[in-house]
Order: sequence, then C-alpha cells, then structure tokens
Amino acid sequence: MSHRQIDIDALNDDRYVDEFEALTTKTAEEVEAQVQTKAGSVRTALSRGNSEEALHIALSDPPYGKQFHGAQKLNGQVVMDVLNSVKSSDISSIIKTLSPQEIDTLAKYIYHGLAHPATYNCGVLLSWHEKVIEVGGLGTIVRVLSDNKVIRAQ
Amino acid sequence: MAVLNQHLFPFCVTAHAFNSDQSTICPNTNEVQIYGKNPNGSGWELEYTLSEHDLQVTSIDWAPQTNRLVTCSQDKNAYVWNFDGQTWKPTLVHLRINRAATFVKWSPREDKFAVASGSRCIAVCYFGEDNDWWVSKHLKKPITSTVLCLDWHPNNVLLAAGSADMKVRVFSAFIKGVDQKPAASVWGEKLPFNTVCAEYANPNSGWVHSVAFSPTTGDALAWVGHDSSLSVAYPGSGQVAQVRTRQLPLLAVAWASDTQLVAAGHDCTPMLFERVDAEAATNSTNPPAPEWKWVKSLDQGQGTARAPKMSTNSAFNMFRKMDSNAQKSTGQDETGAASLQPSAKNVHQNTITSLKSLHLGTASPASEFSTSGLDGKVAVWAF
Repeated sequence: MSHRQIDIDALNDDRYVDEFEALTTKTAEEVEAQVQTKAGSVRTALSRGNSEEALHIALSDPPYGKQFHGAQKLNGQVVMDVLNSVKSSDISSIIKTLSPQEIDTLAKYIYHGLAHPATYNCGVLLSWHEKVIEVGGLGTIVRVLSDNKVIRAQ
Repeated sequence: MAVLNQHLFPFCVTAHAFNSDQSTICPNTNEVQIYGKNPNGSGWELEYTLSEHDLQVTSIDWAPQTNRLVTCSQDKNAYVWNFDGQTWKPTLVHLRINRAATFVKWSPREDKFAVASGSRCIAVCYFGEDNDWWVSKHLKKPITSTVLCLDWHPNNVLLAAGSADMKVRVFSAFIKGVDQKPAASVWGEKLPFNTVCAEYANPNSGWVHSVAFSPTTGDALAWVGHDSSLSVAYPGSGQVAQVRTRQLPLLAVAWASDTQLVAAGHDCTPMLFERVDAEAATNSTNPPAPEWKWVKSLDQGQGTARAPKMSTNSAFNMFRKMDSNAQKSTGQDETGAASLQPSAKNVHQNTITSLKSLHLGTASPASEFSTSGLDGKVAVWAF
C-alpha cells in the first residue's frame, strides 16, 4: 500500500499553495514565544487598568497560518481576556481609538469567538459586535468573510 | 450627480456599452442588442440584434473612433463587429482559450483589444493582415486564476488585470509591428511582451472586480475588491492608498479626475471617492503619502430624503405576511429586483455590475458615466 502514501497533490503543477503560509520563515515555536511575550504585556496593561492599550497590543500582528495553531489559540485567548475585562459602557470609547485595520482584526476574533460558544462568552462578544459594526459598517463583516488570513484557534 | 437618461429593461443587463447616439446591451442571453435614440427624443429603440454567440455574452466594448464593437462570451469566442451602413458583420477572433471569456476592452488607439478569460490567461488581440482575421498572443504568467477585469494604460501598451487569485497585475502587452516603442514611465522602461510591471493585493484578500488607470497620465492605478475596499497605487512613489469602506463590495470603478473616483456595486448606487491631500499633492515637491476617502453616494434619489432603513420588526412582518399569503418569492419581483433594499427613490434597484466613463474618444477626464445592473436598468449620469 506504499503508493497510498505518495502525496499526489505535490506532483500537480496547479495545486493550491497558500501563499501566506508558504511565505513565512518563522517556526511555530518562535511565533508562539512572540505571542507569549505579547500576552505578558497585555496582562501588565490590564493590571494597570489600561484596557485600551491592552487591546491595541492584543490586536497587533496576529498570527495566521495552519502551522501556527498553538500561537493562534493563545492569541485568541488573549484578545478574549481583554474583551471580557472591559466594562460594557466603555466599549464604544475604546473602539473609537482603533484603526480601520484593527477594527477588521477585532471583528475576525469576535466572529471566531461566536463560532465557539462553548469556549467563549457570547454575551460579551455580541455587545462588542454591535459597537464594532456601528463603526466599521457592513464592510467590516464582508472583510471577515473575504479574508484568507483566517483564525484557526480551535 | 444628475441622471441624464435611464431605461428599464425587463431583464438583467449583463453588459453594456455606449457610442455617441447609440447604446448596446446584452440582455443576459447569447444576443447583443443595439438601441438607437428614439427620434422623438425619449427612450431607446431596438435597431439591431447580433446573435452570433452560442452562450451568454459576458462583455461588450465599443471603439468610439473606428465605430467597431467587440463582444466576448462564455462560448470561448469573441467577435469584432463592423457596421457597413446596413448591417453589423462579425469577424471571428482566434482566441485559443479553453474556458469562458469574461471581459473585453479596446486599447486607447483601437488597434488592439484584450480578452480576459477563465483559462488563466489574457488574450491580447490584434489584426493579422496575412490571415485577414484577429489573432491573439497570450499573457499567462503568473496568473493562477480567472481574470475578471482589464484596463489599458493611455500609452496603448500597458495592461492592468484583476483576477480571482486576489491580485492586480500590470503587464506589458507590447505587440511588435503594431505598437511603437513606448516612452519610459513610472511603470518601467523596457517593456517586452508579458513583462510584469507591478503586482498588488487587496488589504483583506477577495477577488478583484474592476481596475482603472488614471485618465491623463496613467501614473496611478485604482481597483476595487470583494473585501469592500478601494485601493489606488502610485508606482512612482511606491505607495498604495487603501480605503476600507463601510459598504458592501464595489464591483466597478472609474476615474472622474486625477483626484476623484466613482465606484458602484452591491449597494446599488454610484459613490464618490476623493483624494484627501489633493492640494498638497499637486503643489508641494515632496507630497505626503496618498490617502483617499469615501465622500458620498451620488444617487441623491429622485426625491430628497431616503426612505428609513427597514427595521428587524418590519422585515419580520413582511416575511410573516408573505408566509400567510403562501408566497414563494423572497422579496423579488419579476425583474429580479429586490424589494427589501434599497429605497424606491434610487435609480438602481439592484446591484450595479458595470460602470463606464463616457470618454467618447477624448483624453480628458470623464464627466459622464453609464451604469447598468441586475435590475435591468441602464442609466447615464452627468458628473
């Protein structure tokens, strides 16, 4: 049955190559360590009560790509921790400080969280969703759907 | 922006093109219909029906100076149509593609045209005197998916293509014997056939639905993608301005001036985009990074105020009413126009699939645009 082990897709010139994954030179450990450092600074910011800064850090340079499964899971958890820590009355003012790119990234994490209701608090996510769409409009939802840089944290 | 002329057809309009006093449309079939202006002044009259294609026509382009039509279709063919005073005569184009043709565009000098296709290539076509028909050369690398849209640079050589592999590319479509050697531009100096001069992507991936070179110099390239974004690239400075819009995806884009763009799509209305730093960019020697912004919707409606957005409750009531009447329709009437959105006062009642600037042979920026869409309406707008 050894022929079953041959990766026949590799022989096909037309095979789909995820450009985004093919381009990264970092190893999974490196990326995970990077997110760990990020998680640390987010925790520091949160303990100082500065959730605005924490959210900026959590949304910066999110890991993508199949091989970085662990790092993505961790980053997802970091973002959710920040979202959970913000009082619902402060959500609007924090969202106003985000750049359009950060809004789109945040929307991605919100939809990811809503897709896994067993792990995340959907009530919190829904109130964030409402405010994010108020700022970003339908375009933000379209961008979550169209982007091939998908969050695969489960 | 005022609507100069509009006509509602009882079918989706898949493609349209204008000449000075005639318009041509594809009624979502294998036919192409040419309409002339009604002598009484209002409305259009069907003058000719061109039915040479076997499958649905996907794109039409009209060369204003030479008065030639080119059409392409899902049947993998393209035809050039010449008017001999009485009838339109087709000439087959030797395309050599094995998938549907998706888009066609005449070059500015009208001696070449390019056909985009699903066979991951662009056929650049020119008239072969020896064979007395249109022959083609293929731009292949590095396209990895269906090409969806094209635009020619004013120098008649460079060709921009947007495709379903989520990339915009600028190619050289230089044909020996047809073209003069082009002057060096921001896109490059040496330009043999199939040189890839530039490659860009959308901020959040998504298909590229429409591309357009800036009108006078061609030194900037605008495109719209399925991630609801509009981007403008300036290869001279290497900068790219990207607008993440609040709206649904845009499907077509055209330049109104060097600092203004008009785009339309799933929101059923043309929209104006403007360069934020336009004055600084033209006056200072060291211009800041380009930045564009959404300005306004250009469809002011035939009335003044737009109807209020439908609330969740009224939508619920509408569906309940449909349910109690045992209606099957999902809020669409016979023309396929959705009755849920947008406001009844808008010109287009469904997605605008095509938007063209009516240059009519002049190099100056366009002041008139034509749009067509799934609601069967073709409209001409004055900017």
